[in-house]
Amino acid sequence: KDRITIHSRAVVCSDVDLKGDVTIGSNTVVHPKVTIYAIAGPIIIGSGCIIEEGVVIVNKHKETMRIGDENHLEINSRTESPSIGNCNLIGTRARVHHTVSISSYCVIQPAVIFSPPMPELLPEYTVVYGEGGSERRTWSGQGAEQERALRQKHAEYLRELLPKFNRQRKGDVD
Amino acid sequence: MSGPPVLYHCPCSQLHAPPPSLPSAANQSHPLETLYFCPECDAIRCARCVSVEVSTYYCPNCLFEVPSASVRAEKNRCARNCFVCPACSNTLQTVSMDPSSSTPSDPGEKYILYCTYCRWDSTLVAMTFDKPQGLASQFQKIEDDSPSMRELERLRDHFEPLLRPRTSLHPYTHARSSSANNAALATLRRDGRDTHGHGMRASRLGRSGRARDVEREKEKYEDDLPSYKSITAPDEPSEQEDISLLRSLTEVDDILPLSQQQTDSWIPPLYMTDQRPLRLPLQSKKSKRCPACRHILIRPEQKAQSTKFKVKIVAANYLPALEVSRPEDASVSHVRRRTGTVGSSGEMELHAGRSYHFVLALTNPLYDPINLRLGLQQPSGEGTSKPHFAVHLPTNTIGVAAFTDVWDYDEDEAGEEDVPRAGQKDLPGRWKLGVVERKANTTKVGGELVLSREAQGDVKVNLLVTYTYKSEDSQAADGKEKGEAELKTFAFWTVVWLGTVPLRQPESTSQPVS
Repeated sequence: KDRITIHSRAVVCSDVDLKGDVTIGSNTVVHPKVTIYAIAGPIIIGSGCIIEEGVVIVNKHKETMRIGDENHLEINSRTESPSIGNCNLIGTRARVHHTVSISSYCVIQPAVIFSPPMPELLPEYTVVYGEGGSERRTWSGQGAEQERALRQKHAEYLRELLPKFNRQRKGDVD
Repeated sequence: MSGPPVLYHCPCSQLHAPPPSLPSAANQSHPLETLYFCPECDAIRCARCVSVEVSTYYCPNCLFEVPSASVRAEKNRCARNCFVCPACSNTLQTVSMDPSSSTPSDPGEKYILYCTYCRWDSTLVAMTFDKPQGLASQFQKIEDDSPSMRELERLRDHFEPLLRPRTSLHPYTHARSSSANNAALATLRRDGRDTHGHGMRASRLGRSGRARDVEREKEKYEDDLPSYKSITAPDEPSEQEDISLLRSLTEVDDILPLSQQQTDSWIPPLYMTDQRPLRLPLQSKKSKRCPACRHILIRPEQKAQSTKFKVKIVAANYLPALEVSRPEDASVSHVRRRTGTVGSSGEMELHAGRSYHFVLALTNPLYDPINLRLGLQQPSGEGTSKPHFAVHLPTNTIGVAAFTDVWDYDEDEAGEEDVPRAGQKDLPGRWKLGVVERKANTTKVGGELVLSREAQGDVKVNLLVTYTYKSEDSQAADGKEKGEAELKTFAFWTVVWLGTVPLRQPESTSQPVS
């Protein structure tokens, strides 16, 4: 029943736990020990994303979960957000609840458990920090281009290096 | 594993430990790891009685050691590029701006301050720098023009010519301005007292003849003191503007929250564009001395990067460590720990009317074996009421082995009774009131706690620990001959907290001191 679609240019290590209908876009890097569970609905991950070890992406709802391009999900983070835009950074051990939809250029700082009681859409350029995501402020976008260029280089480096040390996994439908 | 630490009483406030039910007793006892020990006075010193002096000043961000002379000149702040983010109090980084976002007419590369945590940057307050070094001095130039600095300069200019004729009457007149300032400060203080009316009489009575002449001269000048007009007008008009602005607000995004308004004490910034990054305050490394004999107890290394100490005399190296645990609840607390809940409150809960067995573990830090005696101060109860609990501990001498290498220890003694397992706690006869276990340099002693039916609140008891150790006199005339070993005795009070009986009535006069 699993339908895994992995782009030919994406690098997905074989130690990744994939379930359900998962699509992974081009140039995305998925490190080992990642868990992507499309239990109730499909998950579509865009291009250029960096998904580090221990990341858990779960979709418990029927609607498609979309993760955009050039996002960086750091180690041990967990997201159930139904929609994530482009160029976001979800910090180490952060948790994003399913009530939040993230737009683009947002930053969730490490160890922030971000679960607001009401469904909300984070506007662009929001930085969420502090205890339980209590503080947030809008970023001016300063340094966004430098960061984006750096992330592209990061993904490119990982795409070269990971296959040397990990077995890769190809999708069912190429 | 065990309850809260056994607190050690420092004799700085009182020689003997006060009854632990008193509220004032809470501050006199400290955990062992926070205490110092003066080897010359043979006394415990705590953080409250030890005298502290600054060893070095350093910036916590760049770890640069600032000589004490420039500390005052730089107003206790880092002179290099270290700033504090006004939004989240994290340290700011100096980065170069995105080339595309700067205006095309700007040829050079601009530098801004950027916070890695909340992503605040100084473009929001229109602060850009031309070179990445020496930002503090560039920043200081902007800051010097603030209204508070201008006011201070004006005040200084106003009072200096007034003070100069008075200092000429002072016997020690110097041409340098610094001592003139000191003398000026002294005269200002005396003037302040004089203008308060009754101060004049007191100053006349308390002064010598020479000073009295000075006073009389100054009284002549007092009426000539011109009034000072400040350059900043009283604040009401600007406040009214602010108030009307705040009233008509539709969005609060640009107004700073109160916590971020505290950064400037002269005019608290109201808008996000008024925030200024602060220069990072310096921190200091302190060295501690015994208050009585001035022996150095703690002396850190001079380098800011190293966390080691040149001299470190702490009580943990001299005093035996005590630890309380209740072995019959060990299995229960084990289960709680596995499920992840913090079981400390559950462990410390006692029930009135029962008796408990507890184990006191004594650890010897010295290289020689010691002999301990425990002396309990039975609780006297509050006022007329009888004590609610009784604690029994062995009164004989307990020996604890020395702290040596692991393989030098003898095997555990065979003649010990087993520690009773859970389920046998209804047979108090089986509990041994004495040495339970001897392992390495730790000796565990069993004790008993009996609670009456009316017991409630904390169960704390004062314990006097007296121990004797062999201290070799190292001042023998012959180097080869072993010095005479003298038996030294030391005693200290501790406060042992055995647990808390939850309060039964909703309103109770005795509040538990946690």
